Amino acid sequence: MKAILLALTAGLAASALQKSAPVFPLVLGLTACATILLLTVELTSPIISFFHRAGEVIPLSGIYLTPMWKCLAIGVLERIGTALCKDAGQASAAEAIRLAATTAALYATLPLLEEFLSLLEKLL
Amino acid sequence: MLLLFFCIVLVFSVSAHAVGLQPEDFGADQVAAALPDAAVDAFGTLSVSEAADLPARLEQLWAFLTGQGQDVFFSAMRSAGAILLITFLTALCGVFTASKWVSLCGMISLSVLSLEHVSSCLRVGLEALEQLNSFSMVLLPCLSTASFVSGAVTSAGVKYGASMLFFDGIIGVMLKFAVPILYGYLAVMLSARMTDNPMLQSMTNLLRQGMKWVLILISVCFTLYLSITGLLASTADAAAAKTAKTVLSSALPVVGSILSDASAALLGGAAMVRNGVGVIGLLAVLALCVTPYLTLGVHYLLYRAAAILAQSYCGKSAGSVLDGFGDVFAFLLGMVGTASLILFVSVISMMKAVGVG
Repeated sequence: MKAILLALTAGLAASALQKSAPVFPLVLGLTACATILLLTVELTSPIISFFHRAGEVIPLSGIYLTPMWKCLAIGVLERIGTALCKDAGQASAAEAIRLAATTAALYATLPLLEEFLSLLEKLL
Repeated sequence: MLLLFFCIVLVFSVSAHAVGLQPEDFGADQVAAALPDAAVDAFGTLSVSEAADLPARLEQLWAFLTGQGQDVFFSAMRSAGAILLITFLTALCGVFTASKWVSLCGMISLSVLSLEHVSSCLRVGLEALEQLNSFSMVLLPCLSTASFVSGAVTSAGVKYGASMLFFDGIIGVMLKFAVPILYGYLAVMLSARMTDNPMLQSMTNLLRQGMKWVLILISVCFTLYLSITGLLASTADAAAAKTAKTVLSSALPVVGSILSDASAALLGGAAMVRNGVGVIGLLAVLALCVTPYLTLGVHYLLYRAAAILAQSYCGKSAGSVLDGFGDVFAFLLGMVGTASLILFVSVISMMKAVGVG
């Protein structure tokens, strides 16, 4: 509810200020995104705790879950970042964000790939 | 008169020898000493006289099976729980972002975890094959000896030769070729599922069908070969035994039939020892196969169930990866099953008596 109200307010204010101050809609959009994300983080903490607890009960090593959380965070930030850049008319910056996100996701997945290689070594 | 005296002495010495015939004379103590660890855990000691009490031995086997089954089931449930947690997390992350890296990361996590399960099950399967191989090298010669003494002069050697040829051959083929082909199947299957390449998919199907057909072919060829050669050799043995009995009865007056009956007692005693050793072998092989059958079978079923569940909420790719790993467990089960089937059929074939009555 808070997120919807915040987004609607930012959108209306951006539309009103579009002609007089073109930079303000982008600033308003950025602020609204950051605030909504902060609100969402409060809700994600119990979800992440649930999965960590499930991982302890089963048991499942953190090496399988941690890269996925990192990739999720990277994916969400990439999505918001590219959308903001497109709003600002910066398509090239959006592509750069996409490239950075792909590299970061690959980096986050490295521990898993190393585990895969060590398993292969044991098998062979 | 001298000839008659000699025949009477011969009759009594043959009878005395028949009465004094012991299982140790055929190497039954070596079979008992070479029992696999699983058989020792299930039965403790297993001699010919103990093997004769079959209901008690089957009860012990059932208790061993339920004990092992619980451990294996809970371990497999933990594995399945881990798999489902990862697929659920992948599906959840896919809701938040359409980034392909999230689904790829999920597939990689799933594959690494499943590979860990496959490697531990592979260890169980290979250990079982090696133990079957070592045990067969003690059991089959002992059975063959007892079969030979019990009158199966031709068929004992023929069946022993066929059994050792196929069993040694299949163990060698499995260790040298089947396991590397299994790794190849894993690699092709994972690549096909992650890249959605139709050529790789076709190669996966080809490898799967090929491995299935090879295992079926080996089982059918062995059973046919053993049945046909065993039938011919058994017929020859039966004819030889009958002829010998008739010659003994008719050639020697008075004591001929006594000598014939005494020799039949000797052959019957050896047949009893043969059957006792055969039962020991069957029970030992059953006990040995309990853990690998349970481990591989339960993992196979749980992976198939996990594939169906994952497909419903995580998409086709996760379900197909899990299905592929289910196939790997099925192949491992097939390999252990084929080797144990060959040993079973060999033992039962050698236990089938040549009629000496």
